[in-house]
Amino acid sequence: MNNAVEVLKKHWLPIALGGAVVLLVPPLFYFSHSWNSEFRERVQKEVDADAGKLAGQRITYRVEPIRPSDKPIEYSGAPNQTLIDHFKKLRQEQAAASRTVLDDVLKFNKGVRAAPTAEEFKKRAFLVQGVFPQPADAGFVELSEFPRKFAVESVPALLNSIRAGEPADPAKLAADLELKRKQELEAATPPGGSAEAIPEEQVRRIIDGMLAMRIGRYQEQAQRLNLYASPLSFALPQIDVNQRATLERAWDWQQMHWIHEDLIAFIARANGITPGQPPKGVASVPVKRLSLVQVWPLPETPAPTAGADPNAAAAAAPTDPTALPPFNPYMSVTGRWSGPGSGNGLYDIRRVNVELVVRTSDIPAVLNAVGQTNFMSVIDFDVKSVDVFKDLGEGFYYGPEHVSSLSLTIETVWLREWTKPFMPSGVRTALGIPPEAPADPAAAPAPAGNPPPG
Amino acid sequence: MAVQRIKPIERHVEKIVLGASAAGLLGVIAWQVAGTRNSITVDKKALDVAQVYPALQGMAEKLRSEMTRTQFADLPSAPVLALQEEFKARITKGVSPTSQLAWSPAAPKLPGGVSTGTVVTVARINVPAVPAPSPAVAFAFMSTVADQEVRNAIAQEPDAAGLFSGGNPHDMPAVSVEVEFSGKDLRAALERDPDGPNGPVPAIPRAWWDATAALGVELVRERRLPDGTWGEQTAVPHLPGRLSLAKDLAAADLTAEQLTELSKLAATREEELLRPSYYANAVVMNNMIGSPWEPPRDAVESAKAGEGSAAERKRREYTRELRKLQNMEAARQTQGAPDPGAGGGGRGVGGPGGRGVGPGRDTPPPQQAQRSEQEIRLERQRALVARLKQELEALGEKVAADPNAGRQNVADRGVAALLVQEKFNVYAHDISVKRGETYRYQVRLKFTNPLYGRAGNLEEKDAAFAAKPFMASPPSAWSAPVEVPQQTYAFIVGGRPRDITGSSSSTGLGGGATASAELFAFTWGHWRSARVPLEPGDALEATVEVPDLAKVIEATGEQMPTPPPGGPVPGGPGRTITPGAPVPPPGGPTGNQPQPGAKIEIPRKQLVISKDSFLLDVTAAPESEPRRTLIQAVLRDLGGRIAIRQPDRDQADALYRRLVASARSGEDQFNMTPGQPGGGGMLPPPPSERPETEPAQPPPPTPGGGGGGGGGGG
Repeated sequence: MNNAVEVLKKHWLPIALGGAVVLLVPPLFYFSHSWNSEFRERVQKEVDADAGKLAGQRITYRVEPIRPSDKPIEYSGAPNQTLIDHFKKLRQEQAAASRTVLDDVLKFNKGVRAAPTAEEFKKRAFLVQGVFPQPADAGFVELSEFPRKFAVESVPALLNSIRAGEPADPAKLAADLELKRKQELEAATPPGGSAEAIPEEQVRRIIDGMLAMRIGRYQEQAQRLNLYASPLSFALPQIDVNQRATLERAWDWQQMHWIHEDLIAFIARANGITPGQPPKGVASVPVKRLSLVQVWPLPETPAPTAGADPNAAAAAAPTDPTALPPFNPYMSVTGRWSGPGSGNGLYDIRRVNVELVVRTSDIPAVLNAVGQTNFMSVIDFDVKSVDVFKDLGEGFYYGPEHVSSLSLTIETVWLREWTKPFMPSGVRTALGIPPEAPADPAAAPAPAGNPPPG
Repeated sequence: MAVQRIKPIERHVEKIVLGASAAGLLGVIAWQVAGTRNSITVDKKALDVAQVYPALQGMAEKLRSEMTRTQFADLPSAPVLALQEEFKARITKGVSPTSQLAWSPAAPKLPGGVSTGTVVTVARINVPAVPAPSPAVAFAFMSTVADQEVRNAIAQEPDAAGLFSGGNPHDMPAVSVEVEFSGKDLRAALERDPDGPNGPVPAIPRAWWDATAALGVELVRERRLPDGTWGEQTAVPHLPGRLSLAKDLAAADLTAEQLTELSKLAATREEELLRPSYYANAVVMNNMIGSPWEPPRDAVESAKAGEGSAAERKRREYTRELRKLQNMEAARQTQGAPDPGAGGGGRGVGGPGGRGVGPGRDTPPPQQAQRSEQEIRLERQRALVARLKQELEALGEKVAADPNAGRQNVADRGVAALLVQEKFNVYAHDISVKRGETYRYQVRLKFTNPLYGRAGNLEEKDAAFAAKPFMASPPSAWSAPVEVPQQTYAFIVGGRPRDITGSSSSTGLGGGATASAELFAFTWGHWRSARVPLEPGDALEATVEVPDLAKVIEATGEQMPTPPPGGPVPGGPGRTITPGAPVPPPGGPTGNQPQPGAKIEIPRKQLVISKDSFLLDVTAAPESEPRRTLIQAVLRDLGGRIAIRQPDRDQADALYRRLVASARSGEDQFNMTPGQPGGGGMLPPPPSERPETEPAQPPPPTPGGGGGGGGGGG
């Protein structure tokens, strides 16, 4: 022990240094490794950040398809002006194509009202000018005129446009037949005798003659017409023509009138009627008679309260005009629905019941004509037999072919793209259409009621 | 001074330290060189630190080149969309694939012959060629009909009273005729498109014929005239008391709607129209009088084969009932869901007024009530077939399973049951026949005319076809001639010729010639026989004792027969019966009602059987041989006709054997041990004490239509 101590004392320096060399190796190793890891992580972080920035410069160029069933056009690459220009061009082409089709769609939906200019369109579309969306001043004159225009004048004008009418005047026909009967009886009565003395065979001939005359008159009248129809066939709401209409009520009637127009248009298409041409005769056309037109009412719009802010929160949930329309097969076989709660911002639906007498063999052509006239879909139909003899007794001559009674429920679609600008505020509120954003004061104000070109 | 020793450790410690340090240094160097180097991951690649920034630089360069690139080989282009054309095509396309219906009905003609202008050509349809039934099979027989059946028939058709006897026993001759008809062949005729799908003449629209029903059976007979030719063709009226639509079909102003209703009625009562049950036999003291009615085909087979074995009879019965069950199941499967009822509506959502909702459904439509009855019949028929199958198997016969059981042809849905049956039987009965006459028969079937009232859709030459509410099949081939049983039969069953040697002690004009005759007459369900010895000059006449069941009925009351399947309950609709239960005669019970368990004597009466002939002589037949003498008897009838009969031949005659068998069963009928069911001499216990051997409901249909006579043949 003392030797060791002595050695240690004597050689303390090399021993200490040697010991230090040995003992310091592990800690040095540890620290070195730590510093190395820390350094590596720091560099890795920096490198990752830089690499991430470089990689993050890739973007996906995308053009949404026009049809939901198509795939989008996509390309992934670095920001590149050539790509930007290319996809910009693709979008513009697509928008142009959409715009072209949209123009066709709008024109189709406007139907017979479509016109090359806005002014012409307004003249054709509206029963009374200057009413929608808001008449100038209070619109007393226009709204007072509306009930008469709709309830009294609109339907007869429509029927006249396609040479539709009623059977021969029964009173006049009865008078003519009575006159003929007397003449025939007088001629057949033996001199000095009475009508009872006329032989039965001759009486039969007189009766047949009168029958032929009666049917002949019916046939002549039928030849003068393209369609049997009467204003009474149109189930219009109860209207007091002397009472001024509300704006919302007027809008309802205006839409009903558009539906009437389209129904007459599809009948004209089915019958091959060209305006200005002589009538073809009921006997030779597929649609013989229009018995009933009944437009379903609009959903009730809330009555405007005095002093209410027309731009206040919509009574119905606001609708997004860019969202796809909702599909609900429980509302209709087509799945289409609209109105409050539907979330449909693209179009409005109105249904109408129609009853026709048609040539049985042409039922498919009649059904085709419905969809070819406007966005109208037959969602229900019944076919029943017609008592042609009973109808003939009332003056309706349908011709030599078999006819059937066709009852249709038709769903009509009205695109908001062209109807919205004309909708009164109350109607917009009821349908959940958000009010238009205030116009930029610096921009030229649009004239009231100025629609896009028709 | 002592030398201090230096320890080795002291001497070498510096070397050790130096060595250790050198080793450590070498270790570090080795680690640096060969150990894991620092690497940095760049773009998922591990790189040395020195390579990292060059790699990053490379990435940046690449990005810059992509950003400034102007030429691209793989740029996507917009798909070519002809949206306008697509839109125009959709709005002009229409919803219907054609613009006109394939055919359309013809418009009714205006009165007074008024010109209607140009008539657009309407589809002209060909008249369907209804197939003919199979050749008719006829069978003549005698039976004793229940009095209630007779009264019921006369009550419904008083004009038919002359066809029946005044009172019990109603021993009646009749001929039943059977044909087979293929419903599928009829359907094929209705479906046929004569010139193919592309030709101008269309097939009859399915909706016009898929509810076709059989409306009736027309039976025509001819009588064999004395000169051997056939004549006196007669339309046989339907069996009185059974369903007939002839009068309804003959109505001058029958509308198409009325015809549709008649067809529906006919469809639900097809069994009664096509297979009317023959009259039930009388039932006395729980005994059915005579043999049950058999379908003609089976009866002819039985007669030829001497009735055959029990297994053969059972198999025939099983086959017949199985076919009936298959037809009933096919009918059930082809009938779809009931109609929703008349009236439109019930469509769309809401809507104003007019379209409305569907009709109320508080009461089921009539079709559902009728189908329940059909279900009941179907269950009964299944039970009957199952029972017959068990009985057949108990007799040692194997019964093959029906491979088509439960299968339904989708094309048959909605089609009348009649039109899916491969083959079905049709029966008709003639009770206006005369004893001893020979007849032959043919059958026509009547079906709903799908072209009734549709003359506008037919060619001019076929217009008359549309005037009748029914279309008739061609007549079947004539049946083989059938002879209606005669009033009486006489057979020579023995004889001895005259003893020419005169050695016999016999007396009499014939010198001892004698014969023995057996005479038969039908009464109370059986042929009754009596033997009589004859000498030349004797008339063929005998007396036999027969049970006087009329008196038994008077004493005990009439028992109702089992209701035949598809036939009316004897006694009128609405009357419920318990088979075998005694029913007091109309007006209440008369006479003394014997107590249950009492023994009664069956009264008997004398029946005289006379053949209107007499014996002339008995001689040896010419064909006799020395060792075998054949006897022949010479008979003469009142008309002077001579008949020669030989006992050997007469006794070998099949008719004689049948008559003898019938007579024996007639004698045995009321001679059973008292107390056995139907035992003669004992009344059955009242219903309350009777063991429950039969269901409360009327039993399943018996084969071929219930009661009916047997016994006699031609």
